Amino acid sequence: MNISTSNLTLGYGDVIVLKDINVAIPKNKITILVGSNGCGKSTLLKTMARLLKPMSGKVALGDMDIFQKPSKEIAKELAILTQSPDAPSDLTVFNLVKQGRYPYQSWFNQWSKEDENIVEYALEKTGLSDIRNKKLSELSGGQKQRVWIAMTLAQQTEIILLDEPTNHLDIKYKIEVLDLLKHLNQHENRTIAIVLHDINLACRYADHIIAIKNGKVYAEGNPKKIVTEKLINDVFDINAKIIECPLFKTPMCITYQNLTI
Amino acid sequence: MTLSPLAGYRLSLESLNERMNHLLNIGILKLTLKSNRSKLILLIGLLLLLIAFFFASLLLGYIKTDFTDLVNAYTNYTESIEQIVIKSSRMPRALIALFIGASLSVSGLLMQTLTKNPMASPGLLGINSGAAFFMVFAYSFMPNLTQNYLMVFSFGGAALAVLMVYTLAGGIRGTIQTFDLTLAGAAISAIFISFTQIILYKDQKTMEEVLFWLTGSVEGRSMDALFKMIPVMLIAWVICFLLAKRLNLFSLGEEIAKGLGLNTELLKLQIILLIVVLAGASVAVAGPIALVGLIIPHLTRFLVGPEFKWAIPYSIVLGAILLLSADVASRFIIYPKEIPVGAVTAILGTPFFITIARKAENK
Repeated sequence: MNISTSNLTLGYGDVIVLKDINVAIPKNKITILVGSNGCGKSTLLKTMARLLKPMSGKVALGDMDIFQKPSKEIAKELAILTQSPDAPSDLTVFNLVKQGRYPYQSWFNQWSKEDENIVEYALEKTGLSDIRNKKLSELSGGQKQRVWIAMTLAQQTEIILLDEPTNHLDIKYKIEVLDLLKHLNQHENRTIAIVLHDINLACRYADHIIAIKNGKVYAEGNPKKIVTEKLINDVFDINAKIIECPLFKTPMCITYQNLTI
Repeated sequence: MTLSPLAGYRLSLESLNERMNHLLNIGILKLTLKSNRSKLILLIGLLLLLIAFFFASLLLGYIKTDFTDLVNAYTNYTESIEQIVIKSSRMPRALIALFIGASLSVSGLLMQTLTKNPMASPGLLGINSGAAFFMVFAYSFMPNLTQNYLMVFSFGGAALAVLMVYTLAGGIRGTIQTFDLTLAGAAISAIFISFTQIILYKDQKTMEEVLFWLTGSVEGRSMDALFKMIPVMLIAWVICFLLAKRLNLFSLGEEIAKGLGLNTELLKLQIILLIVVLAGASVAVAGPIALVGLIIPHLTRFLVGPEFKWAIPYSIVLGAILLLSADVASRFIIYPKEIPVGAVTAILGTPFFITIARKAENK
């Protein structure tokens, strides 16, 4: 299942944030959206997940317009994890992860053994099996984020969209979350799209980068090909030096300074 | 408006609050139930307690009655004073306390879920002030209306206030922001409260007559009115229960719920309608009874956690118990006189109120 946009124009009220966007999220790849604050990358991600309605243009999931399809059906093909979601703090890990099965349930289809197994699988994948009965308030930031990812896994979708999943996490948990996503991509062929602030992590984990600037797609493609000093300069308004990362051989942005200096 | 008379209690209640926090810390009160079985057993226990309070409400009061009077009132009616009191005063009163206590706490649970605000109660949507204004208006300008019509009027007022709040918060456009809902609720409430005060100021006679209603009271209502209301409330409870799974999802936040395929705009509308029916009918019958809708949902969460399939029945039973017991207590606090039950729940509720506020502050 592919997800793509055609002539998508997005905004709030009268303000246009993104204009005539035509992008596709490549299948079975990790795509990372980068850009400065307020450039509209989160808005784009949410619109691709039908959470926001565009001002004009279309989002296609497979060959269907995403706004024409029943929302519950979409939830079986596409999962979205929004930025710092806020669940009741006394909810247990298991009870949150199990909500991921909602799209599969109806009056006739109540909770089944299969649902149970899938939740077990999601807990195991994210290393949460042992703390399934803990309350969210008892978890660390990294664990909490894994619980939300487990919930999207329980949804059993081919596509997973995540809006800044490493926000507020320290460096160890950042890597932990991104490694988990990489694993899901490589071993289960999930198509993953992430909005990420950290350009270096984006270069390391992305197969495909979409860089957004001034309401348009500035460049897209493999980070090794497109991430240059000029791109960093234009997209983030800073001067930077790019070297090859000694560990992963991906582009790495070192020492940067404000353009105006 | 309902809280201001309570400001004086605050100091002495602070020490009570401290002791409660202490109990919470040392874990005596840390008893959130985990297994479904223990939740069911406690629910049955609470149901028995509810029945006990129901009978206490029928039998206790200024006029002494016993169990035989109760049985005779329904099997061998001789029009003795005791039987008349039970049949025409205490039975309606007990039933009203039961159904309104339950409905207020369920509507409070819905309100807190809808606004994601632990301090929210149905009054935030303008229900109480809308109902109060229409009640006072009708009393003042149409003094010959019967009790039933007055009830219809104040229910209409509650519904109108919610409709105004809903419209102001963008409901017609199809996207309500819960924050706007709270703001609009405060604005509409303020308008209705000032209208009410203008009428009461001009018309002292009405003021005396509606004061009992304005404080919240379950006394002196007719059985007839109640029988029209009970089925509506029962249906609303059942619908809440059927929505339990969707409410679970909604409590994860609107975007997450939408992403999982839930139609959140429809659910918000359903929640608002249920609040209008449950809280609107309650306030029409008994006036704005303070704090039941605020406290019980918290007590419920504390006992059984946030899952709605348990939170709803627990709210029903605990809300009924609270209002029944408060009503029994209201007969003895300044015995032989009675005080409005709304004043009792306000006194009982304040320590909880402070505890919740403190907890929210600490977060």
